[in-house]
Parts: sequence; C-alpha cells; structure tokens
Amino acid sequence: MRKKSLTKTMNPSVLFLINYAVPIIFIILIAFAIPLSGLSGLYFIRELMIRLSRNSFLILALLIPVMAGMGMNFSIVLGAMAGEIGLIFITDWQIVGISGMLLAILISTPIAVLLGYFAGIVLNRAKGREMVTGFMLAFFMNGIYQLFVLFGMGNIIPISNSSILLPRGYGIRNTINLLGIRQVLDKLIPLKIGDILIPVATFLVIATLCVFITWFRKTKLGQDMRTVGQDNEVARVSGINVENTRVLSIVISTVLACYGQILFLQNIGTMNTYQSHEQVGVFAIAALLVGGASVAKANIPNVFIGVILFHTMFVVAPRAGKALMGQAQLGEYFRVFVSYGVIAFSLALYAWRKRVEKENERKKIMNYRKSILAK
Amino acid sequence: MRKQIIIRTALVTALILIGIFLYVIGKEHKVVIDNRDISIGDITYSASTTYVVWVDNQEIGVIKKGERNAAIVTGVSHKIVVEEIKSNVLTGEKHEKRFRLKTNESATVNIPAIINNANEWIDKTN
Amino acid sequence: MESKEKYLLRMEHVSKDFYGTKVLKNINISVKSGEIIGLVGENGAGKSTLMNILFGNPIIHETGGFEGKIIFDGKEVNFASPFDAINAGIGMVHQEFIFIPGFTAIENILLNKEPTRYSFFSEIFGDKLNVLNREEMKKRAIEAIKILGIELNPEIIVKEMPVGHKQFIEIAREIDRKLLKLLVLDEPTAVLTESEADIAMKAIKKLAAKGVSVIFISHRLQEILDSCDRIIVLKDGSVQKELIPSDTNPREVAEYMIGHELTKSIWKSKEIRKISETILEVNNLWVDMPGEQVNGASFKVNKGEIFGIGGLTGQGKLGIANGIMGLHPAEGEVKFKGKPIFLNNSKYVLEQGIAFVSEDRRGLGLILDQPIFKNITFTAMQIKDMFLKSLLGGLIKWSDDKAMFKITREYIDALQIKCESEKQLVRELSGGNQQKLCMAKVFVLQPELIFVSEPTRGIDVGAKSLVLDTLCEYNRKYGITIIMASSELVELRAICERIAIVDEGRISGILPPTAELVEFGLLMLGIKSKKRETIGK
Ligand SMILES: Nc1ncnc2c1ncn2[C@@H]1O[C@H](COP(=O)(O)OP(=O)(O)O)[C@@H](O)[C@H]1O
Repeated sequence: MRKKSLTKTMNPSVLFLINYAVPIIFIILIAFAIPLSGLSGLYFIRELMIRLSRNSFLILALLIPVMAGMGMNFSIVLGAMAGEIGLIFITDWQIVGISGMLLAILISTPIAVLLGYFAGIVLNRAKGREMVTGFMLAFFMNGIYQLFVLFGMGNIIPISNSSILLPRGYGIRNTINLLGIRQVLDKLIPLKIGDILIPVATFLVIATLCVFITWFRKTKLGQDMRTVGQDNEVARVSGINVENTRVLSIVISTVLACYGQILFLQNIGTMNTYQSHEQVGVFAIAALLVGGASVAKANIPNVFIGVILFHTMFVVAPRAGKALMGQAQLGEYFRVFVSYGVIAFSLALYAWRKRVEKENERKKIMNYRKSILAK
Repeated sequence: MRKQIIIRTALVTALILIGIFLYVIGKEHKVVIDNRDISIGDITYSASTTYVVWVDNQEIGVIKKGERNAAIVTGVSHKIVVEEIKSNVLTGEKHEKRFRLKTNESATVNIPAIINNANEWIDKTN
Repeated sequence: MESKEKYLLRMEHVSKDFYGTKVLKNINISVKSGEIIGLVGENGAGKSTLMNILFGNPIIHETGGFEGKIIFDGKEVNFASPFDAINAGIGMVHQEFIFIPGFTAIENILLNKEPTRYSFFSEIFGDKLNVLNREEMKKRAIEAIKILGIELNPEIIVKEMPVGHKQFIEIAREIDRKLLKLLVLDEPTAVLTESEADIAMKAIKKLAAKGVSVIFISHRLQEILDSCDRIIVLKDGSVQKELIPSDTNPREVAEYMIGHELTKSIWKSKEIRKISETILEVNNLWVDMPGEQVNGASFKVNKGEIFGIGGLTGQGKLGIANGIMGLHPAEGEVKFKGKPIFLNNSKYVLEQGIAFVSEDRRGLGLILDQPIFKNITFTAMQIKDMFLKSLLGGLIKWSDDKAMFKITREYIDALQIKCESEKQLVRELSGGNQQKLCMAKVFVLQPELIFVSEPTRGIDVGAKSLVLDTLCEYNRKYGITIIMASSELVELRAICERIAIVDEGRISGILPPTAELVEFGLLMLGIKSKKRETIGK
C-alpha cells in the first residue's frame, strides 16, 4: 500500500523494451520517415556507405572508456583537435596523398597522447561525474585550441602557407581545403559496384580497429579496465592501479578519436578549423546510444547499428520534413537537437534502470537471507 | 627492462624516420613549364611551336609558343614528357626528361631547352 | 633457536597508539605452521588494529607506525603495504565480499593475478598487453575450488550465484596463491548458513593440514571452539588469555572476553518497575541496513520502560531502529499501541508519535550550519505543523519565531545545553551538547516512544552521564518509552530495565540489568541457553 512499487519484478519483455527504448524509437521513426522521404534505394545505400566509413571509427573510439567505467567519453573532442592540428601542419607543409595522411597521424599522435593524459587526470579527479566533466573539459580545451590556432599559429609556430593563414599574417583561416588528402584513403583501393563507390581501404582500417578492440579486451590491461569499470574499490584492493588504468583508457580513446577525426575529414575534404570538432563528441555518443549501448555497456555491434540508425535518420529526416511541412531547413539544428535529446533521454533511462536493478538485487539478497535464516 | 628500452627507442626512431620519409615523398612541388625563348650562356633557344606536356604521366595540357603552365608534383623523382603539335596534330616527336627535387625545391623547366637537349633545361629554386 | 624456528609468525611486544590513546599494549602472539588460531575479543579490543599492523595497512603508517617487531617466516618484517604482505605469503579474507559481481568465478578467483600469454605488443607497451590465458585461468580456479571441496561451476557469473557461494570465491582466491603461508579470516562465516559454514571450516582445516597457518577472527564462539587449535582472547588491547579449546568452555571464553564484574551491579534505580502494557510489538523484522542487517528480530516493549538493545558491532542492533523509522528498507510486522505500523515511511512513523535520536548525529540528526533554534524546531514544524502561524485558513503559513525561541530556551535550560544563544550555529557546539540538542529536537515532538542509538558515542565522560540522566528523567517524568541501542553494556545496564542482545540480526535473548556480565557475553557470542530466554515474556 504505502510501499514503494519500484521493486515490482519486471516482465522480461518490458525490460527489453526499456533497455532498448532509444533504438526502438529510432527504428519506428525511420520506418515512417523512409516512405515519406521518397529517396531511392540506391541513393540511400550510397549515403549509408559514406556515413559508415566516415563515422564508425570515431564512435569505436568511445568503447574503451565505457569498459573502464568512465561512461561516454566527451573528451574525444580533444583527440579530434589533435587530429586537426596534424592536418593543419601537413596542409601548411603541402604534404599530400596517403603520405600526407599518415604524416598527419604521426604528428598528431603525441599531441593526442598528451591531451588524453591530461583529460584522464582531470577525469580522475571527478570520479562518478566523468561525463559532465568531459563535456566541460571539451569546452575548455576548445578555448585553448582556438587560442593556439588563432594566435599561436603563424606567431609562435611558423606557418608559411599563406593560403591557410588569415590575411593579417597569423592565425588559421576558418576553412582549410584538404584537397591534398581528400578521400585518398577512401579511393586507395578502388572498387565500384554499380554506381556506388566502396571505400574499401577505409573499411579495412575500421575492421582493423574492431579486431584491435576485440583483442584489447582479452589483454591484461583490458581485463584491468573491466575490473576498474565494475568496481574501483575492489580493483584497488586487488592491487590494480585504478588511476593509471583509467588514464590509459582515456589516452587510448583520445588517440583513436584523433585518427577517427582525420579519417572523417579526409572523407569530407574540407576542414572547418574552429567548428569541425565541436559536435564530434555529442554526435558520436548519441549514435552509440542509439545503437543500443548504455553508459556502462557498449560493444562493436552497437557502434554499427548506431551509425546506421542515427545517420539514416539524418538522411531521411530533412526530406521527410520537406514532404510533411515543405521545410528542409531542419539540417544541423535538428541534428544537434536530436543528439542532445538522445543523450539526455538515455542517461535518464539508465539512471532509472540502475535504481530498479539495485532494488531488485537488494530484494534478491534479502529473500535469500530470509530463506536460509527463517525457520 | 633493458630490452624494452631498446625496443621503444628503436620504435620511436623508426617513427621519426618514417615521418621524415613521408614528408619527403608526400611533399608537393610546383613545376612551372615555360614554352618561351631562353638564353643560357650565349646560346638562345627559341620557342617555335606548341607542345603537349605530361608530368609524371599526368597530362598538364597544351602550351602554346610563348606561354607557360604549371604542374603540382608530389615526391622526389619526376618525369616530364613533351610532344610537339604541328597544325593541330601530334607529330609523335616526344622528348622525355627526368629530374629530382629536394624537399623545399620548386622548379622551372623550359621546353625549348628540353627539345635542344640543353644541359640547363631546369632551374630549381628553394 | 630451535623453538623459534617452529613458528611461522611471531609478533613480539607489539604496541600501538592512535593519537595518544593506547589501543594495543605489549602483544605477544606466535603462530605455528599449520596451526589454526582463533582470535576473539569484544568490539574495540584491537583485533583489526593488530591485523592492520600485520598487513602493513597504510592507516598504521599514517598514524605513526607501531612498536615491537613482527617475525614472519624467520625474517623480521614491516610491510609497507598490504600488497607486500600478500607477496610475502599472507592472505586475507574479508567479512564484506570483495569481488566483481559481473565477472565469472574464474575471473574473480584470479583477479589481478591472471596468467598471461606473450604478445608482441608487450615489448613496446609493457606486460599489461599480454593476453590472458583463459585455459590456464580455468585450470587454476578449478584446482582452488577442489581444495575447498564444494560444488561450484567456475564459469558462472558471480552475481548469479547463490549468495552463500560468494564467500567461497574469496577463500578460493587466497588458496590459489601458491606461496600462501598464513591466511587471516575476518568473520568469514558471518553470512553463511550453518551447512555452508561447515564446508568453509572443513576447507580451512584442509588448508591447515597442508601447512598453511590460519588466524580466524569470529564472534561465533562455537565455531572457534570447534575448529581452532588455540584461542587467543584480546581485551582492551592486550592478550587476556590463551586457551586450548579442549580445556575450556564457552562460559570461560566469554568471561575472559568481557571481563569479571568488579561491583555486583551498576543498576541505578533500586527496583524494576512492573509494567505489563505492551506499547511496541515487533515480529519478524528484516532490515536491509548495510553492515547492520536485521534478520527476523522479534520482541515486545512495555509502555513506559527503558528497553536496551546491545550486541557486537555489525550484528544489527542499530538496524532495528533505522528499519522501523524507515531510514533503511524493512519488512515485517510492527505494532504500535496495538495498531500495525507501515514500514518504509519515515514521516508516517514520526506522525504516529515515534521519534528517533540517530547514531549518525552529524548526518541525520543535525543541520550543522543552522542555528540551534532551527535545529530544535525543524522536525516539529515538518511533522506536526508546530511553530507555524497560519492565515486564511492555512493557505499561508509562516514560522512563529517567538514560539521557536521560547521553546528553544526552555530546552537549553532543561538539558543544560552550553551555548552562547539560541542563534548559535550547531557546528560550534561540543559533541555532548550536540547530542543533547538531538534529544531536545526529539522531545519537542512530544513522542510516546523514542529510539535512541549510541547516545554516548564520541562524547566525553561527564557529558555521557548527563545524557543518560536526561533520558531517565524524561522517561520518569513524562512516561516516554525509550528503546536504547548501545555498544556500551555498562550504560545499558545502568539505565535499562530489560536488555535485549542482538546476534546475527536476531534477538538472542533478553536479560535483566542485574544479570551476570558473562551472560550478556554468551548471548553476544551466539550461545543460547533455555534459562536465559525466560525473562520478558
Ligand atoms: N584509525 C583509528 N583512529 C583512532 N582510533 C582507532 C582507529 N582504529 C581503531 N581505533 C581504536 O582502536 C581500538 C581498537 O579497535 P579495533 O582494532 O577496530 O578493535 P576490534 O577490531 O577488536 O573491534 C578502538 O578503541 C578504536 O576506537
């Protein structure tokens, strides 16, 4: 009567619906939007191919911190910044092609490691609030990045290529043309099926990353991260260096995000110096959540399901919007809105589910105690 | 422990070397192709006709007498091929030259000099 | 020389003080190889401190180290951290489970000691990038489980295991250490059923037979008597007595543990009042309070009496009040004045006229950064709409400061709370005065029944008796029924008319304050006899 009814044991199918509420909503929305959009299947597949090759890597970068119990790593934005710095340098030096891309990776790796290390240390100070802290950290580092790129480059850091410098002689222009490396990886191994270009090499790189992540889970470090992710204290008393392990997970994630951003930008071909990275974290996280992941659990299938659902939505939604309301200007705003919505909704759902689970667990133990102790 | 330090040092060194290598082979250079009169020493080679130019197997285009064009090339060693055009037909008379560019160099090549096999057909600048 | 060699562990003249208070005094303990030592003592006797010293727990180093020396395996040791102790061959099984619920038994047994296979990446990034050797892990886990002698599927996720098996995971983890020489078990059987505890004890004996020494800390006296080779009784930081189980009996052990009575009785008032009307009836109460679980406690409290609840720490004496007051999830039947009470609803219980002076003064009792008068009147305002002036038939309410000040001053005088004014911040008061404030806050509610938990914890001696006197006074003057839970038998026996002893979450018996001290001790140690359960029915 006056008892809190939170504890009612739940029907498994209801639980399934709750666990996968976000993907289910997306599937339903897409099912409605596809016929409305009137897009051809071919166009659709082509778009999907591009999005998969463009975004998967960045989202995969999120998996390892989830494993270490640090939730969705908003600070992958830092990795994206590192990648962009690498790209600025190779553009300045006019290094092109695959070698340009590889060089950008080489240059940005140490930067990403440093930034990741820094982020890891900051997040260690904010245990349990990693996501919010990561979010703020991304904002803060964006400021530093802007300062560095807008004032440092051309002043402290010599930049000779006037085509990327602002007319005043220092600071990088708003947009950088990445013609030199545009789609070099996508087109490295050319394969066309009908009209659709398959970015074979990019997919190979993504597949390699998947293999790496799977392998990594099996290493000692991976096991340590899982342990830390499940329980900091237990990990600590069994001799695992919790802080270190957490920092490492963020470093790996940041470095991967850095590569992910380079991969992303080589596909796009232009770089928005001050904005390209801004929403990287939010979009990647929203996509992963749409793929059925939660703050505490995320795997490789979640990534691909997420990319497909999330980006299908953005392929069809503007068209469907136009068909419905004669308006296609939803664009970026719609995307940001949906992403934040997905994140907020997932987090709330997760917190609620966690509470139910805890309560159920408590009930279970209590019943056990009763069963063995009561006569 | 010792072994690890050696391996790590080797790895970092290798990465730096790879970086330099990538820099060299990925570096873009501008090659200006002149179809103009040129005086080298006391000799003057004069442009007399139109040429089609290929640099590194990429067609740069047709350069008429007195004109110039530019190519962007990547890496170190390059090949330039010019073929004469007379009254709008390719004569099949090809001249081929190879050249190497250091990392920060750009070059100006002169077609009349190439045709005449002059030694100083290319002018590299930093 | 020879005789010394036989001992695996010798602790010689070990003393320790925390900020000037001696908690261990010249302890001498030696443990032979393959011997099972039972370590018993009341709360605060120093068992944990002694084990912390053995393990080199950082808390010991942080508080200035210890005196004396420890000789382990023939060498003098002073471990810098528990990990060093573990590497030297000392293992520990804790009372609370230390494992990862989402991992399999295998992963838990080999937590952070997983065997690995070489991988090339370890050359660059270190050993952490070697790959776990799952087959080897499984093999080792199965071996450890075999020694324990239980049926346990190692591939099962621990979360999904029967609760009783979880403790075995930890024991198995220690068994897996190849160089394990000494195993410390801190209340390992507290959460096990009797048959499970039997299995665990058998496993421990098997281990001892293989030459591993065991230090077994438990309050289940029978278990200690049944399985140990030697019993060491700690009291007030020194070794009170060493006993051989075959030459002793529970009563003797309890006597050494609790001590002899100096004066026959400390019972303050001369007579025990005869009261027959029941005010509170608790039947089969279960409370899920971490570390203080109540497992089906039943008792009756008479109207107007002072009822004491005693017992060792962690046995559930604090859980009873917290459960009934709705601060922790509870189940069971509670009748107040013959009427059933809904559990898990604090406000409702308060409204019925039951109030609570919590053991957690700073957390639950007081708002430290608020003035005295607000603290005293806050609950009354919330529950009883006291100190509120209302207008327009209750649509608008505001606090009646005048009435608040008046009542605060009354209580300051009555309870002799030392303060500058009623507006002083609570943070600035001493512990004793804060405790009185907690009581004033409850008295304002004019309750019929008060739960008081650990009323004298952390306050100085003078203030202690003042607090107890105040409780007695209010009980006599206003007929308030008081249920007091305390770790201090002395104070329970000074003011309570009946004292219930809680063991493993249940009432193991109810005694009059005049009962012999050792009787209380035996109840605390889980040893019951028919005779003792007669009173109070
Ligand atoms: N960290 C500490 N700081 C101050 N006093 C402590 C500390 N740890 C224990 N004590 C005191 O030492 C005494 C012994 O406690 P403990 O070793 O925990 O006893 P036991 O384990 O037998 O219950 C107690 O009086 C306790 O208050």
